[in-house]
Amino acid sequence: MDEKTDILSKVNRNDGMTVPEGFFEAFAERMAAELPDRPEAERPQIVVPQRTLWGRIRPYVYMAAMFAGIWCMLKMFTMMTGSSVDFSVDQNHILTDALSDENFVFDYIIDDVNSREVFDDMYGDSIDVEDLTPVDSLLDEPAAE
Amino acid sequence: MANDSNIDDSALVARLREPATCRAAFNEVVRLYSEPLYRQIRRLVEAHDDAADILQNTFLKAWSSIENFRGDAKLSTWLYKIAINESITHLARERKRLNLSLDDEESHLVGLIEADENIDGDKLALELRKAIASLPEKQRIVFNMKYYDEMKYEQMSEILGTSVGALKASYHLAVKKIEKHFAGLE
Repeated sequence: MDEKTDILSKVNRNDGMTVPEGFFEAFAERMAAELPDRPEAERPQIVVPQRTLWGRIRPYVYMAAMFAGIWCMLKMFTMMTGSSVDFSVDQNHILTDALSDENFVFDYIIDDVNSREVFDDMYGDSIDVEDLTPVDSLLDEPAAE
Repeated sequence: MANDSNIDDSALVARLREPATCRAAFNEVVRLYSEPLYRQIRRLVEAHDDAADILQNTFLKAWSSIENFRGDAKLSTWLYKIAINESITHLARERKRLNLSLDDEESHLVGLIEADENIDGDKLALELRKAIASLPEKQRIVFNMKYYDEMKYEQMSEILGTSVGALKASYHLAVKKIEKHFAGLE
């Protein structure tokens, strides 16, 4: 390799550049002084308080209290409007009296069932009319008349 | 110059991530990397004052975006990348300000080298700087990294985002042009 092409080894990686005396020390000090605050990095970390037992169960207590309140409101509304009247037959004196009256039952309930329906029900239950033992009192009744 | 590739910066990066220690750690980064970064910048822009300003901008950018540094690459690689980008931006701004073409930039840089007061008087080194100034921008960056910093092609590839093969080709072309430059001096 001649002198021209050997130039890179002769320079020996010296770029010949100099800096003013103490430049890098002064630069480091200036940078340290001029560095702006970095809010996202230097912001004090928010300390999250430890959750107490009350803190943990509070949402559930509030929810239970809310449902209890709704239930009380509905109960009071029902009581005020009297919508809890019992419509059962036992509570209706007129009906009870009527059903305990034999004449009423025979006139308005028993007579309302015709014999055809009785026979249909009996056939449905596989009861043969011929097998039935006649009640003596009923058989004797025409004779008595 | 300091061989930054030997600096183990994993502990430094860990301290940079801690809000309580990040400022002190960054001051340490400035002390460690200001000289190698300055030299890399100055070899591109030539003027000391411009290099000092770009170096300051480089560190300010690094400080403001330290959270973007994921630690995948070396800290030095990340800083070099910022410094190179800042230098290229500065050169483009200067070309626009002085209304220079890419060809005119060569004579502008040579002018800066000749007017430079911060030199050690080595005429051969000065002539080499002029030869480097005649190279295209990309070749200049590659040559400076490889020749002066003895940087590995892999790290250069990470910094410049160019394949190792292309970097080798760029360096080879740069050396050829520099040899040609010195041949023309005779």
